[in-house]
Amino acid sequence: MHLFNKIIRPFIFLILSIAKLMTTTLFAQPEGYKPVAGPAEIMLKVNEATASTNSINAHFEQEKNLSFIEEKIISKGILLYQKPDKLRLEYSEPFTYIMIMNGGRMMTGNGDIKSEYDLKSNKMFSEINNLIIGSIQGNILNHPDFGSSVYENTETLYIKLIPLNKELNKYIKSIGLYIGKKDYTVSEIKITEHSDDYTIIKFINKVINESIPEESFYLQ
Amino acid sequence: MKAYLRNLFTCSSLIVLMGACNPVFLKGFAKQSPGTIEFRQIFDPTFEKALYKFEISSGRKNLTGLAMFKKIRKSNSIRTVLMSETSLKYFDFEFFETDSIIVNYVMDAMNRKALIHLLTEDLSLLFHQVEDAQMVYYSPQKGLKSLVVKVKGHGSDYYIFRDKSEPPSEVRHKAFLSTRAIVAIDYDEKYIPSNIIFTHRIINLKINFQLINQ
Repeated sequence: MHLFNKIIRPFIFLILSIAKLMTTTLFAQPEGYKPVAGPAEIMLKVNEATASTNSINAHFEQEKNLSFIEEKIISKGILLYQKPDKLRLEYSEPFTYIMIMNGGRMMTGNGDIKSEYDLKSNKMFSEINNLIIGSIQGNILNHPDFGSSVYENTETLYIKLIPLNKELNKYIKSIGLYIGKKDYTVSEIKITEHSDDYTIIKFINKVINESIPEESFYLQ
Repeated sequence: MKAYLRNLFTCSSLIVLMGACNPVFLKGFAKQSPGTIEFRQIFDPTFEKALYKFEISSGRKNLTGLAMFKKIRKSNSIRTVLMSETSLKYFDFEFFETDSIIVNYVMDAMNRKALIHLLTEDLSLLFHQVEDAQMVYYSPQKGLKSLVVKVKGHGSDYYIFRDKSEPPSEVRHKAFLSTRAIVAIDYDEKYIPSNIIFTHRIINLKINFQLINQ
């Protein structure tokens, strides 16, 4: 019994700890997904789809998961994207809010309050702007500021991105992109904060390469 | 030298007198013994959670987003998270019944001591658990309907009740000589605050919370 307590028990504890560490960090992957055997080939397909995507028109559903509350905070709206850097996020439920990114400007509309920012003058806004647009379009995969690992199941690819950039790393722990294997475009984004609170944005009824009026990217 | 001493005496007397005076809004009210009303908290003890839209504006700068207020039964606290509409977290505060506050998270870009102090001081006005011993009641004299409760122990906070049976419709936080912040509160039919507006007198700052859902 003494031998068990002194030597064997700590040894078992050590083995279990290593096993836990391996499953949680080294092989961290979403349930039902396995690492992709040839990631370069898959990335090529995603890059081809990204290159041929000139515009996206979709409904979106945003779920905010806070660790201290069981219910999710759900908001819905419409997303419009026009290559290379025009984006409109229009929230309609449970509040109304418009966020437009157009070139180097960001415009927000909140009822009667309209604001405009120069993205270049604010490093945080600028980084987050690139992150949002890059995630929606899929070209974030080629971004040198992120380390990536690729997983798949029969229908979907899951690409986990870890920010290597110090500035982005202050705000975001990881980004998960879910990409459908039918069209190799992003169907869902999971943004995890350092507190492990996370946001999932799902794109529904996605229409690719439909023409979008230019005025959509300005606040009326 | 004599003139200097006289001026010094006059100034210090004035400061003491002004500091000791009742605020203007207490005109027409008289001090009264406690126990005549049941002090209703802004957030009722049965409160569970509420989602608000918020706006913080100072001059031409403004910050908007969502705020989640959630009662944590286990720790007897109210957790308050302010985040952007796109759900990036700005602040995560926890207000305890004992009046202590924990700052769980502040976004790096917002991590300014003065801003955190201001926000926590303002928000704590909503969550104070007021004890009977801390209260001084002021009842109206003629024609006035509202009732004022001065709460000692948090500087000077004045809770103004439009009706004895309702939670306060206004809170005034008094600094050394003047009112520092005024909080105007409207409630929905379940007495959940539906609109909360903080107006600052000394600095140009306004904070507005608008109820989205519970």
